[in-house]
Amino acid sequence: MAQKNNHTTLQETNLDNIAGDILRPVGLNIKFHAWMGFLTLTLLACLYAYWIQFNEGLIVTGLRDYVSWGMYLASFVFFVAASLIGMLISGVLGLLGQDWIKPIARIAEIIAVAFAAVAGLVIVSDMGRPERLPYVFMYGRIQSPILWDVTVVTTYLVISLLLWFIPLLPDLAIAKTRMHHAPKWLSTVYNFLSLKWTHHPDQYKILFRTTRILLILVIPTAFAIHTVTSWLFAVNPRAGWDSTIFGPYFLTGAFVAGAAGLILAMYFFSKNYKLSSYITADHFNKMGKLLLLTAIVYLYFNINEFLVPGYKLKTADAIHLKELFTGHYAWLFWTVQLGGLVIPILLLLFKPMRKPLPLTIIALVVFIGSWFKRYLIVIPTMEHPYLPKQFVPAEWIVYEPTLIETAITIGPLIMVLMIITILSKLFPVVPIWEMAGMGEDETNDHKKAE
Amino acid sequence: MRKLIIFLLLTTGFCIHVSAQSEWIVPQERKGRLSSFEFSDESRAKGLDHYNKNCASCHGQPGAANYQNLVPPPGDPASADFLMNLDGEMFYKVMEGRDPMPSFKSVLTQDEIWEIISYIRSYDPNYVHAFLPTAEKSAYGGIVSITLTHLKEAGKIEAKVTGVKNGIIENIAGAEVVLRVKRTFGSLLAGEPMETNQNGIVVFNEPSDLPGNKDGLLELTAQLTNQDAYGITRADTALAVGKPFEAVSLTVERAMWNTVRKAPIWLLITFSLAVFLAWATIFYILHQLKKITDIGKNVVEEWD
Repeated sequence: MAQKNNHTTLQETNLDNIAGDILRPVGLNIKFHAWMGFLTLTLLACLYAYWIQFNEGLIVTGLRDYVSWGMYLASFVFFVAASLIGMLISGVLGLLGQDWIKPIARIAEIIAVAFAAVAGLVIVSDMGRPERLPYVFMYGRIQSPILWDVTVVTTYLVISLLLWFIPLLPDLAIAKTRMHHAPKWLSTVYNFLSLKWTHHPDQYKILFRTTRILLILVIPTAFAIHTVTSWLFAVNPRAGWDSTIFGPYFLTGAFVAGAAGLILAMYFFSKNYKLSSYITADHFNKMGKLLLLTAIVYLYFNINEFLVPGYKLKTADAIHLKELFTGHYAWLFWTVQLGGLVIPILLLLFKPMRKPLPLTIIALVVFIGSWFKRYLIVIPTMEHPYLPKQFVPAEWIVYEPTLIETAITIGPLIMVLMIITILSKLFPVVPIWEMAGMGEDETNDHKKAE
Repeated sequence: MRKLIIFLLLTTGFCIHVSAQSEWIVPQERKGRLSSFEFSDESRAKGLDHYNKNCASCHGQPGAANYQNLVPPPGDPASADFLMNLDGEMFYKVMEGRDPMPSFKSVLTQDEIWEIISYIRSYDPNYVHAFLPTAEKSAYGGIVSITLTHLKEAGKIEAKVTGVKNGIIENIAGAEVVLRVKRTFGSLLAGEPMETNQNGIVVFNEPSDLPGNKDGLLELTAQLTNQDAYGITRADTALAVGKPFEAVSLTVERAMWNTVRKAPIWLLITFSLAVFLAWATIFYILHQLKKITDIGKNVVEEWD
């Protein structure tokens, strides 16, 4: 009995320390207001650009009859891709029993929620008549991958939101009682959202069971969202899209983008929130290895995607590949393929490169490269339709994004940053209860029961 | 020795083929041929329409030099190389074609080819138009007619060609008649062209193996080939001699390309099942969250 008491006290002190560390950056301070103010102003500028597009139509963009998807769709694919990291970390690694992911799993879910939530808006920005959006549901065809995409993205968003929210319940209860400096409304929010969490063993049991079900469900859903996104392209018999490996090609590419995005967030939170004793150098090392692995798999798919059509050189493919390898897009193509994939792979093979700072720099390059990679997937193909190019205005043939279009493309990214900021500033980014080892007895019971 | 001969034959053939590409020889007697009608705005407008449907895909727009990059190059019809051709030469080339340009003999009628030429000539400032005067058009002053009779029992189609000379109807012997069947694109020759007999009659076999409309109806046209001698004479008829064929619309049955009401069953089931399973699970989870709240409430009550 005495031993048990001792144990409990130890746990209590431990919890005090951990909760202190993790809850310290939570709450609204001047930095938060300044940052959100900056984001709001930028977003307003982007919304003004959208207002112009809304009134004058897509003519204010570089989009024309041939290239009708452009940067907006490249951005959409990127957003869906980035959101997949939630599944990779919590779903795949979590179910494999990789305990090291615990402190970064919530950050991965925040990224997933933010990007998945905004992805749909990116599509709307590509619509010339957005007020006709309800038509998608009124007259939508179940045969269309666009409808499948809307369905799976919504489902994935809800699952990701639950995967962020349910493991947050014990932390909300902890924050409710410990954040005495928090404003009253925040305490009310915590109280409301914590769903009367009392750390009761039965509650933990439900928490573990529901999370486990969701982790299993999130894997096929995430596979579906990016595979369906790839089908938006691959169901067309067009050079550059007409590929049977587009699903896995997109999926592995998504893991690269997502892993890079997570590393960026990890670096920011470990430095800015002073959480380096939770998000340690070892986490960076492991994430570096994960980025390396995903990048190698993605490189493998890239080789398939270019070597096979490059060997056969069917007329349309030949034109497409020439544009990429030596033509108009050669500069961008080789920068993205070498700078965003090959060189990072070579660097990540060495342990010093997987230390926090070098890894973050590599991840930044990979992350930006990932966006341009989507640009290269969407646009060059659209510039080469199968229609005969006769009597066509020059501006249809070569796509050049306009300033307004660029602002509208940046807008959703600002929204993502806002969502990440709010979720990470109002709620703890590292699970306190898991760090303090709470609910472990229930996990063990749970594991034994299996 | 034999191999050598074959080799020589092949190489000669090849050389002739190559030189034929550089020069397109039109038979002397065909060069001077003239159109049977005067070119007008109407003929040019029709010509433009035929040109866009049949020629533009390779030759591009006249004057724009945007023809396809082929070997040999199709060339721009408004270029000097083209316009230096006599009307008769142009007519011959479009009629007969040469590899890789197809022959339009059975795709376009002769009038339609002349209409295209009238359109091309609108790009030629130096062109002086000449056409066959009415009197020269026909030995019968253009009053020639073809009467088609369907000999059902025998499975034959009879064409009788008559002309009016000095007020008297005469049977025309030795006139070449061609029978064509209208298809979706252009027309198809129903047998070889044949000359009329002493009674002005030529008999064709029914084109019985061709698919017609749902009643087996085929649209047939008989025409005299020698327009210079007889003018433009044709007779049209529709006979139920083809195979009845009703194209089933591609939107009748359930298919991927159809409307949502006609979606494939397997897709409806798979999609609905997947959505149902995912969302049933989500609602189960939401229900579990309610359970968490209930447990919390009870615990709080116990503490109180």
